[in-house]
Amino acid sequence: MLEKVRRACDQAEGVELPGQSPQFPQYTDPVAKFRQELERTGGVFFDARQPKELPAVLTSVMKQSDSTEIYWEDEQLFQRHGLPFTLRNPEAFAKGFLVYSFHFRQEMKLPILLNSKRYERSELARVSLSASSAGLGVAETGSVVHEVRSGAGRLLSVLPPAHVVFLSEKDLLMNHAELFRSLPLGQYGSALTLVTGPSRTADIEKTLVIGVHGPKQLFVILTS
Amino acid sequence: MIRISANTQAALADQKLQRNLRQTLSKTLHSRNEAVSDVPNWEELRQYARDVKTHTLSRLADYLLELEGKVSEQGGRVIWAETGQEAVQFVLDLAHEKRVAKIVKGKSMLSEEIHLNESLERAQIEAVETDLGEYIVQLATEAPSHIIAPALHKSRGEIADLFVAKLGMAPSQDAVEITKTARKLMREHFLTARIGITGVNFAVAETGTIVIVENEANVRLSVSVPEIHIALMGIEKVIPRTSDLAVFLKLLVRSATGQTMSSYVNFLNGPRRNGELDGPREFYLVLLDNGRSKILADDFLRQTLACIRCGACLNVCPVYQRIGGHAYGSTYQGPIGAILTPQLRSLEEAPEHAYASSLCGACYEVCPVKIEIPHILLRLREKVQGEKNQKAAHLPFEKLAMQVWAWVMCSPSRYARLGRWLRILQKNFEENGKLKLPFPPFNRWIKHRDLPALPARSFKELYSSSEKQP
Amino acid sequence: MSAVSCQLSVAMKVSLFVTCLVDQLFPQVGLSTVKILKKLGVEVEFDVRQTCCGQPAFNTGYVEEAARVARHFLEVYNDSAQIVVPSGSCCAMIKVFLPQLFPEGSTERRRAKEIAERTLELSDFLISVLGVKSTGARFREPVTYHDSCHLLRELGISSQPRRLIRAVEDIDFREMENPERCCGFGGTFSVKFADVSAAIGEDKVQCVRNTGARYVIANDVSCLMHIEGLLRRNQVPVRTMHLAELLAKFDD
Ligand code: SF4
Repeated sequence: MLEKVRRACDQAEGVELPGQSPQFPQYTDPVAKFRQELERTGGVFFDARQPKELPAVLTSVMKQSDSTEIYWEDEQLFQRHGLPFTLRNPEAFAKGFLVYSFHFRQEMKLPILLNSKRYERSELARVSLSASSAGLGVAETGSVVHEVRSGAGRLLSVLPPAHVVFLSEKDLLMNHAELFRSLPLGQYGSALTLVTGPSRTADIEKTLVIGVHGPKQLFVILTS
Repeated sequence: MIRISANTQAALADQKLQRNLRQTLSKTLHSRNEAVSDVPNWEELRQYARDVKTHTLSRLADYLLELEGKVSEQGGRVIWAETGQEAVQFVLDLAHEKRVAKIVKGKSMLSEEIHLNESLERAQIEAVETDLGEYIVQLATEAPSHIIAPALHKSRGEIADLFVAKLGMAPSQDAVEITKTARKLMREHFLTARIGITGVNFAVAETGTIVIVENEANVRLSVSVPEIHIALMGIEKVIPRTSDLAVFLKLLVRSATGQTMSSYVNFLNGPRRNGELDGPREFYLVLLDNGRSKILADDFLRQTLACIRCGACLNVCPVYQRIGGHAYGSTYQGPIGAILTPQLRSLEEAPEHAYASSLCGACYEVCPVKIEIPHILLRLREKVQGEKNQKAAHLPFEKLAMQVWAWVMCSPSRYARLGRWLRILQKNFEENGKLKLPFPPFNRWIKHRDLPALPARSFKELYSSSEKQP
Repeated sequence: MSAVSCQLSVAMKVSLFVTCLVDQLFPQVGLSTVKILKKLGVEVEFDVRQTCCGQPAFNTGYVEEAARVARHFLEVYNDSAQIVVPSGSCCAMIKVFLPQLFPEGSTERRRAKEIAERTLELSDFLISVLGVKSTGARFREPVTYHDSCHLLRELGISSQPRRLIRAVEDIDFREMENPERCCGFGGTFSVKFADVSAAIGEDKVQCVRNTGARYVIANDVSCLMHIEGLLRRNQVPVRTMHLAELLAKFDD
């Protein structure tokens, strides 16, 4: 078969692979653009570049998603985003468990780790809100990149009806040209997903319906 | 043999279909135009993408090899399938070997092209389409009518009735309710299926990455839960570099739905790796030829393979807008279907596809990879006639008519004489200055239009007499 | 002051190709074209040997027959002056497709290319070569304009006819919705898919009707013939008019 293909394009006039990529837009305020685009897709944006905003932001996310627990990715999330949370059960991380449940305690104004759970699909299918850290974000389209690395999975960000993503400001890129220049395809894990807003369909008379097989709600929290 | 002309009347008379087409297509077109006008260098992007495709197709074998190498390195397996039958057989064998009873599927036109579902059904393997539109047509036991929006021909009411009848949904006309029903039902399937089958939008040779664009997350689930992922791709889907994706995705998404970006773009590099918590344990990439290398061999027609299946040419096509997708009788509809179908199958099997176009060129105008569809249609018409004449025992009537016509047009005197004769002959058919010709093909033509009678004097006569005056 | 805002400083000669349809069915379009050109001081050459450009055969896939007719065309226009055509589709046939009918490297192809280069559609010629601002026509009616597909997409001509129409004195020009959408004619398409072609045309008729115009203008008699029949069958009181006829509405 390969031979057939080779013969077929044997005589083809070759065009050089174009070198210079076309211009992609630049923004003076990428955060504003990111926010605008994210909101256009039905996503919700929170600015928590001031760490003291975090408790209020998380309160809001939990209220909006009608959740009392958040399922977290792994401890890297805390480190990367400097989340000021107390870990009640730190040794759980060492065991390769993935999903941790936080109980939100109103009176403490901070979510606190209560216990850890095994990474189980059925568990994931039950929870109402999960959280992960985005590898990158793109202002041009209000998108974030989910990376699957060792210690993380594909399903955490897709099974629960609401998902919250932490995006660090330094990982926010201008546009897709920058994104695909730096996207480490296949380098760290077997899957990457570029996520832009919640899951949607327009298969019924082109009427937009938010939330089909994936999350109905997508929150992005920008940290510094 | 597919006869589009036999299907058009029913399509035109179907009021529901006409309404659905009108409503949905105008919406899509509108969003597409908005999304494109937002991009100042759209033309530059188109040309860039086209150049990448032209280059890739001219060295397709090399890029496919590179892709295979990378996919294998990452623990995936590449299957070369020369025909649809081979691809189907591979899937069947694998399903049998692994004793799989249920398969979830992401929308894949390639799967439609090779009639995979029918074969799976015959083998008593349950195949569930998970894209909502595709699921709707599966429930209705119909074929998709649009490569991007499979259930575009159906109204909300029709879909609701279908869900009530087949799934026992509580009666509701609400798109949200319908979607909820599908979500709930599909969750079960996702969690119990052991194979996920998807299509492929792009495959990056340098990294061995499969790229799948979607909105619903059904692909994300299909490639995350089941233990086996099979990706089906036509050999033309490979692109050389990751960096080109920026341009292709921008073109594809804006052209297809008018979004700035789809909800999810999946980049997949083989099966799950050590330490990863989920994802398929086995990954297979099926590279399908099924007539593509034949198209590749023609210098002009090769560009057909540059198509990224955005569906924009369907939305903008005045013919598609009026007859919908089913009338084409093929997996691919509209302008791209008109050029792809006779090439993938044969001109004999699809002799009318190339003619089902007014050659208005709107398809070329919107095509994000600048495929010269109208010119390809013309080339295919040429080939249709060539083949027909070669095979015909007698000179076909149309050919004869054309020969006579050319014979007349090559000679000014014959041309003038014909004009004079027609002026005499037409007296028998003239009515209020119009010609009522009761024989084909004119009778069909004048049903909707008028053929004016030839005026007493032609321009040539009028002009030369006016020139003679001082 | 003359209504014609441009007078030629250099003597200009053109060779007119009226097209077979205009010659046999719509001679007034040809006469109007001549009238406009003469008024602008252009010398018009008309070769009576002309017949057809070969388009009907070419569009139906009969390339041999098209080439035969094209060869005749090449002969007629071999040493012609600048060629002017009052039709978008025939002009596209000459400019885009005629050379393709002959093998690469052949004399015929070279000649076809030369001819293609010196062929222009009427409105394009008036604007791009003559720099005409107005033909001096006067027409006190609401009109709308339909972009014929080949004119628009093969030749890229859309502003030229509009500029000339707007320059007609007293005119009430009303753009229709989707003027660039095909009328459904498509030559051989209207024969092989007569019903679909008509259905597409009905949309066009609807758009024309919505403008409230009394005339629909286009630059291809074939589209106009198709639209005219559909207008009549749908009882829409709008008449068709070729661009040249409109632009020639001045007293000579
Ligand atoms: S031919 Fe062009 S416009 Fe049509 S589906 Fe393919 S890429 Fe899109």
